[in-house]
Amino acid sequence: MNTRFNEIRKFLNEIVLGKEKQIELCLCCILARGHLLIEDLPGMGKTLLAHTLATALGLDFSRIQFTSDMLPADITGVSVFETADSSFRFHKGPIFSSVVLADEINRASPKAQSALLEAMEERQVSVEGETYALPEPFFVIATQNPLEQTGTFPLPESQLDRFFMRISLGYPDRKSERLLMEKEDRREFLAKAEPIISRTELIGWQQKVKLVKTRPALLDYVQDLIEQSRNSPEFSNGISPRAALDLLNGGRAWALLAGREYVMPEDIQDILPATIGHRFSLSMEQEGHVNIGLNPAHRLLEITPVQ
Amino acid sequence: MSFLTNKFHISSGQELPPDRQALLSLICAFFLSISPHTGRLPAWFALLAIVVLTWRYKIITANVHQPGRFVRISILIIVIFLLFLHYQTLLGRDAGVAMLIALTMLKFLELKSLRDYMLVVFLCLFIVMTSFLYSQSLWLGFYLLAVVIILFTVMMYLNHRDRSDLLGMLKRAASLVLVGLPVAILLFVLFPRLQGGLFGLPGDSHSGLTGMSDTMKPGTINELNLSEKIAFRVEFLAPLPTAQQRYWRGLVLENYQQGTWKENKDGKSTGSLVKYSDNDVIEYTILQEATNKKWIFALDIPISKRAGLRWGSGQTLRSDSVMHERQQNHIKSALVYKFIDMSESELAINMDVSAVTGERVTELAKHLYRQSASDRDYINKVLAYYRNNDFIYNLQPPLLGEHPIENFMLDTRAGYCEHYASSFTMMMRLAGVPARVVIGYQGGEWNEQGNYLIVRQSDAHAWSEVWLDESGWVRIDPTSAVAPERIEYGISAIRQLIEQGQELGNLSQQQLQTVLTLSILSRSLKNFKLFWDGVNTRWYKWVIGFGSKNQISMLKWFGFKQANVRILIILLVALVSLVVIIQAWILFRRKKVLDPAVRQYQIYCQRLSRIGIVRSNSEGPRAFARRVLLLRPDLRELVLPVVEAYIAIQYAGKISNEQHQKLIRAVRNFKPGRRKIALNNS
Repeated sequence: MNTRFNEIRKFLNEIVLGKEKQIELCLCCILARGHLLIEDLPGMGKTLLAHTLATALGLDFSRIQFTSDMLPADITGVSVFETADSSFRFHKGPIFSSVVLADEINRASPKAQSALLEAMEERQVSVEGETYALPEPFFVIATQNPLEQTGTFPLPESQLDRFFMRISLGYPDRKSERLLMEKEDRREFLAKAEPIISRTELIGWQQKVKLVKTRPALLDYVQDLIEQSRNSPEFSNGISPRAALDLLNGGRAWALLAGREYVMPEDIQDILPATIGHRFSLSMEQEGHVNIGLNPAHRLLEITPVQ
Repeated sequence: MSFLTNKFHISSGQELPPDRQALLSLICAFFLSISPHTGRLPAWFALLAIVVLTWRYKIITANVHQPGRFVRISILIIVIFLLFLHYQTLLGRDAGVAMLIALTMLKFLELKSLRDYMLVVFLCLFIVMTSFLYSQSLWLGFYLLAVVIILFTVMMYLNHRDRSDLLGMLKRAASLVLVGLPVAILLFVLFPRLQGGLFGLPGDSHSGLTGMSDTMKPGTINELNLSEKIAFRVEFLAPLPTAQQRYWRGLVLENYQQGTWKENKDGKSTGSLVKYSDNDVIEYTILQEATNKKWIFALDIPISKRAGLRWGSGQTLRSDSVMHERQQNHIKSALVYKFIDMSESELAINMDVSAVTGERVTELAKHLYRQSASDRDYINKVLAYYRNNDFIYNLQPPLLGEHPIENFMLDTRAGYCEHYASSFTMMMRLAGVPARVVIGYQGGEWNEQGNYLIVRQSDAHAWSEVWLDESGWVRIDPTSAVAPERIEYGISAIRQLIEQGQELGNLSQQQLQTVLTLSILSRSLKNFKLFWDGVNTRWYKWVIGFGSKNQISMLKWFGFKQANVRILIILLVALVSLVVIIQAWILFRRKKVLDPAVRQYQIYCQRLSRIGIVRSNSEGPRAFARRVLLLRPDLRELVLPVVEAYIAIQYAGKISNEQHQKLIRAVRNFKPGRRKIALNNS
């Protein structure tokens, strides 16, 4: 199993250069059946990453470019009157893919946003009384422009909470950038590439994640983290129960990726910033002075003891 | 104290219905608790126990009906009636204890829920305590401590009903007792004592104690001679007096009637009969066993007494009350002394020869007196008479006939101290020299281990005192004329010599040595006995004998100006709550670190911190190990086993004894040294 992971890692890293950690988090996110939010400037390779993932995992891929005039039906699909048999037939929207890239999600109106988020949460789409199941696995990579940019509808906290992880890619380093310039066009390479694993194998792994052990000592640690986030005056709001479960599942997937059958505190620590970074924040008075620029997740890890 | 949080809890929610095993464990606990009482209980208790316990057993195993209220009350009434018949009362120690045991036994008939079982265990704890009403010996203390631990174990077993962990429960029970120890010690030291002994209860008979009687008829000390029982123990503040000085004065007998010596009831009972020089005074503490008598034995001759004692006739000491318990007295004696005067009536009594029968002995006395130049010379003449006429020291002498003194002096010529003291005193009186008999003890065995002298019943002795005008009453021991070994080496040596058929009186030093040298085995046995006696004596002195006086002097020692019961109680409450709070705090603090694996891991972290690698609070084991290896790659072989074993237990769930041993071993092997690494921790 470990070698299979390595093959995927190798493939992904060949195409998306210098982003090992982010790729690992992406894989973790898929294994834990969560959805990913990438916050970054345009042109950082978000689409490439999503596309590569879909290819490597043998999944179909679609991309939805969110715009301010977008309607929910543009995402979920519409019922169209068919003259041939005089009935309405549902035309599936772009969301009916295993890997969906929702690009620039914060440019769309809240209405369109919530259509996507509902589908993400429920893994099904209801249109005019009919319910359509989304494919399995179903993995949404949403991207969002930094909030300072113009023309954005920022996602409210309640919506952010539905994303399993939030990462940002950032600029590549100098070495990776040079490689990027030297190498052949990766999009062509990608078009020719064969999938590395099958859909069923991926589903098998997703099942295995649930079997990764979490001992009382580990649960104690996770609960300590949660309590700390809720009780410490340093944070404005604590980790929600959903976030706590995501944390645990993320730890499981992370452990599985490392080839382990049990979760360690380090697993939790590795994924915690990405998993809860977008769901809680430092309290106002803290933000005011000392801890400017401090990631609240890192601060939480720092103050929570572990055995 | 992880054992407390581990498994120990009194569950109220899910309780297991008591089964056969539970009942058997309870019966076991019950029998262990009453075992010290078995000899004291009425015989029909055995029958009651068999009936009740069998019935109970059948209720559980064969579904026999539980007795109804009417049956139970009837049995109760019958048992109480029988108890009353046996003891004539339901009050007092014996009847009370028997009642407690009987009622506990009857409780077995109404056992239903776990709660009832627990109640019986509590009752057993009460029964355990009642054993101390009878004896406070060290052995019993050990035994009952063990029983208490077993009772706690039974409690835990009743709660968990898990037989696989009996040893663990036993350990936890023992630790519980240990936890209670500090409070127990405080209570012991500070709890205000009632006057009297630690467990003194009034009104119970004390009988069957051996000891000296207040009369002497040659032949009666005999029984004492064979008893190895201890009469008293003495601790000296000054150097030990020599063997020849160790005369323990008990009673002075002046009346002689029908072959029996008795105390003179009208004798002077003041303590100021003697003159002495302060240089000759010796101080000592004497711990006297219970005698049921009043007399106190003191080194010849006592000159001071503590309150609670009084003077007997002839400068002897008495206790105010009959000694049912051991008594400890601090006494001063003068080794050199002079009696100052004697009244006419006393003189008459001490010269009374009216009860002496036999012409020949009177003749003998007169004959010897005529040859003497002075009274002192006469004494020597009589002693020489003993020496030169084949008198024998014999512990089983022939019986004396109608004229005991005469028979002894002229016919049988075999006897022991009583015979010699009695005959010598009479020989004096027959010649007109005032004389009397003193009984007490002579000698004693020095306990090297405990630094005290043991005087046994077999050391009982009788000697004479003769009135000489120039020096008052003078102690003369006629036995020493016949058997000086008695005085020099003690009664046990005499017995050994007699057993081996040696003739007493003129044995060479070498002969004595060969006879008295013990084999290694008997010597070590003797040493062990002495050692154990030392332990016991300290037990009585410091634990049983610890009374209100010790408390007061202790308080004064701690600097309390006013030492009274109120201060004791305040101290007690304050210190006990302090101890309980400290213990609770320790318990609370340790609760966080109850996992033994974590404790091992902390030792590992501690050792690393000593070489300058400090684990940050939020650093997981793997991350920390990675950092350690980065800083000290040479420790790889030591670090990895610890971390692997720890992670296996803590996070991979491989919890087995083997795995745990592996961790302990790895941590034990983990010795990174003390060399600090140069760190720029910035």
